[in-house]
Amino acid sequence: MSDRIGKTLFDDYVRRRGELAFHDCSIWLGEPADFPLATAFGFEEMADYMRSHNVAGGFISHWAGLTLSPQRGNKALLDVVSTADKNWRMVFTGLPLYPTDEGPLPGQHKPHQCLAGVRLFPKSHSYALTEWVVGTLLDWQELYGLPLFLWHTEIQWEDLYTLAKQHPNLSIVVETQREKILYHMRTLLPLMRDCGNVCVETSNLTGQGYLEQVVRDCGAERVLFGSFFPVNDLSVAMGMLLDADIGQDERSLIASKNLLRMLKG
Amino acid sequence: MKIIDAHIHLDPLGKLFAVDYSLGAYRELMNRLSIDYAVCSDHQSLFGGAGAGLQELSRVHEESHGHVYFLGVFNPRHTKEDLKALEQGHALPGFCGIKIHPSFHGVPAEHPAYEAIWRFASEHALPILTHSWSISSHNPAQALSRPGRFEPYISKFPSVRLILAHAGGRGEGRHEMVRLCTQYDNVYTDFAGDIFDLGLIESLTRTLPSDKILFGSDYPWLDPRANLGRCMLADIPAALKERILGLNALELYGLEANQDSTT
Repeated sequence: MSDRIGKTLFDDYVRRRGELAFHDCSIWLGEPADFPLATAFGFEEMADYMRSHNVAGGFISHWAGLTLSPQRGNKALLDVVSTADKNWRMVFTGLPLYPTDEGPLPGQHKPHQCLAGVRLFPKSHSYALTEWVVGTLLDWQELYGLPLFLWHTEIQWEDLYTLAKQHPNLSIVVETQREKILYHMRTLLPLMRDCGNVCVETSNLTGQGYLEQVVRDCGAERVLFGSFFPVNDLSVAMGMLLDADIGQDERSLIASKNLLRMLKG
Repeated sequence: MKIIDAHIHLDPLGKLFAVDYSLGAYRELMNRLSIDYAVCSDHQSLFGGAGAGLQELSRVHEESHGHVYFLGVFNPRHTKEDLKALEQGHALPGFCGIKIHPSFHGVPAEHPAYEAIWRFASEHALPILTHSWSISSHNPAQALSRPGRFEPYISKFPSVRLILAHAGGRGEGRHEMVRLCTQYDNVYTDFAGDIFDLGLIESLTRTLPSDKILFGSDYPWLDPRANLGRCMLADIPAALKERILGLNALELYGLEANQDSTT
């Protein structure tokens, strides 16, 4: 190291970042909950920031879908994303029993063209993540090729395993927020090995060797780049990926291609 | 330029999954990422006292060919035993400072039981690395390590350099850390762990003197690549990155001087 000039090294990171056109599956609008030092971003401000840091597009969620109501969060997303360019898509917050609830909620109608997925918060919104509660919604997602997003803090692993087996054509993305995933890796890895439809996003997949281990065990096709912006710094997940001991093709899949493939159904 | 990971651990812990805890795995990462030195404290000593881990840490230093330095843990519930172990251990090659963890040991940072280790650090010119955090709703013990609680000792022992780890956590502890680092010459911080806040490094460099910020990973809890990449990509001048990534830890722990005498 002593013979290397720091500036060259720093420039090399920027160059390598520039070689990947990132698409981010974990971008959030609205007031973050439980992160008192985090700042809320508006859509335009977020999009400008992302573009200036080599993120060409991504899936956008809204905190209000968790903290206030799915309907409010989804409406807030519709207001900004439906008129945006097609690089930006929405992840709605879902609820069971949707036909009798006020919308917009996933499952009520044919999905909006900007909808890219559905996230459930079974723990925070007080319902069981089981077939007899969410099965109809998951059937609808399968029909339209819309992946299911779940924070690991919102689920029981046994429930997720059962649902993944019951809906083998549904892509399920385990999100590593909003607490450390590291206490659950001994469960997540076997689950992913056994359930080919379960993927993981990278924002907190930051324990020793985790990224490489998932790629080795399950393939790079099962990993999605996620930053948890603007709570987390984009460059954390980017740094993990840039320096990962994997092939450039695998890096490219994780940075963007897997997410773009998911969009195409 | 040197890169120093100023906050690592190398031994297993049941609740923590790491793909490979071995020194060899970490050395491989050091080579891949151009990390020159690391500063290690061990889980074993946190549980069993300073005497439990010092010989093992000394072996790690030797097997790493002087690239992994280590800290001796002090538990205020075992003052006599730990001081005795540290008295014997601080002369070991690679020993470079003290580690305390008020949250883990369940003793608040301002408690009189810590006086002995501050005095020891002062007498032996050793830095202290401490866990620090914000008040946490799901882990009440974190309150014992709020940065402000260290202030009585910081002001009483101005010659002892204190590193507040984890940038004071992700809440109001951050503001306390910034105040202490700004107000006192002998207070530093690292951003080891998952303190992944947007713009943290840029913000710290705007508010703190440039010699007060240290790069650390908290390996194997966190992979060094998480914090290394954000530092490499941070929107700050190259000279500041060099300070944060290595120069500050190099000066604070005197690692180059030790390296010259041990290899």
